[in-house]
Amino acid sequence: MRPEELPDEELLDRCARGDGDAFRILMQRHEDRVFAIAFRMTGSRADAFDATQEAFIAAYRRLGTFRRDAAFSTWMYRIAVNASHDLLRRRKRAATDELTETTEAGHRASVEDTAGLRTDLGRALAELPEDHREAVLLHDLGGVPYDEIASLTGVALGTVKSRISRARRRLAQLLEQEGSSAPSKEVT
Amino acid sequence: MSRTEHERCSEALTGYLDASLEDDEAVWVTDHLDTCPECRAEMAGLQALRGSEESLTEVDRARLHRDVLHELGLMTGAPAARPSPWGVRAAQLLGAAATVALLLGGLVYLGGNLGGGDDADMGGAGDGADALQDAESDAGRTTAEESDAAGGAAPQSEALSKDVPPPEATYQAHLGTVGDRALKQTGRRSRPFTAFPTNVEVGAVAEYRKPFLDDLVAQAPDEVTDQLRECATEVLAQVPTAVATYAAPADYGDPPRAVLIIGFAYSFTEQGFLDQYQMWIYPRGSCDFPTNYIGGRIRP
Repeated sequence: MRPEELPDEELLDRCARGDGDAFRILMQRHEDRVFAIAFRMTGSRADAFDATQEAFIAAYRRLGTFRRDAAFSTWMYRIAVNASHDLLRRRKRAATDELTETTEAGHRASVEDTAGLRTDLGRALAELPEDHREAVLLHDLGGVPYDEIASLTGVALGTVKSRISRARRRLAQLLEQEGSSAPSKEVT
Repeated sequence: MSRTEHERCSEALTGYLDASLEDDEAVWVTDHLDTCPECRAEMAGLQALRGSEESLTEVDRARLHRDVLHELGLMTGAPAARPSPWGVRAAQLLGAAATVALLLGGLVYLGGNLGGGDDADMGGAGDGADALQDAESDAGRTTAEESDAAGGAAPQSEALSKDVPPPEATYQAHLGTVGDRALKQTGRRSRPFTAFPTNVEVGAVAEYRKPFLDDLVAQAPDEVTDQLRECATEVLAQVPTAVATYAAPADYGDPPRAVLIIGFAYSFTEQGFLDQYQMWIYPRGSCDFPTNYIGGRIRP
């Protein structure tokens, strides 16, 4: 069997033996969804790329902690959510620091850009509670089943369902308030 | 409306959007959504999340693999084995032998025809009238003089069979505003790629890549030379089968944005001929995240 055809579990075993090619195949297999999640989180292709990169680096370094009681994809997507969140926090902090050093008119708009909140959807997602955002992104974009999210996050199945349901409704509400029911797409 | 019904609908919404539900269940969800504003709101949120697709470009992928594997110390020198022209089998190709005769003649630069002149010339190759019309609307100009000046009046087969002129990597100073269709037509039917001979062997590429890029850069105005060299070099580093054959600054998209377009001829395979092209569109001043690229087979 060619390495590209091996299941994730086998590739993980090879990674553990220091096989870089196995990790590259895992990246290829999951990078599109990781990027999609990161893009939804950050609202920017550039930031999404950075978050994707950081997520894979973090995943490799933490492979030893992956217990395999959930699919690798589930674990990977959660790392992507966290990497995106961390990146946004860093951007916001940097932007805030910058703000204190300038009083230029109109600067706030550029701060929003650097904070990765360029889209209505990005802003709406940022307003969700972190655990709600994580659940809805994992399920609705990552395709992760409810029970795996419950297992991964250590909360009850009903709580996961409730978070996802509330997050969707809140997103719709926030987007309606923004005057747009569809996400605006970044033009770079 | 019972809580159980809301939960049932909520759990079914992703399947409903993906059209993966059983018919009975899909009908039930439809009926429920008709009568339940709460679940309709939930559906709206889900649709917003999934609303617009964003995906990695092949450049992104190559860069992602390179950067991550490098950071982790996992670089082996082996290229990514994606079913993609960029990055595939790159390492094996580096040592290929060179035969170059037609490649030199094949570096024909598009002279002011991104907007439509060449498309008009190549009209005999199919939907020429439409192509001309599209190109006119995209570029706002096309004339017989431009077509003749570009030397593209000959049918494609003739252009490919006759002796091609020596390379002239000229740089178009400004092309005005161009649109997707004109760009595609340029790639498919204009001189940079239709006149590129299709019997150039992959092994001939290595020693000609730098001189060709130097030619392009030498002709470019100062404000884009650094970007042209940097962006093209980055792609060439990823794709040892590629040769930079085309470059042009332009205003692209709606609203128009200043971009730098770079075209490459390359091959999917480690043996054989350069028979593919790609055109990359970079935001002016940056090699990060080309916003779009098109490509295909160099005719015929």
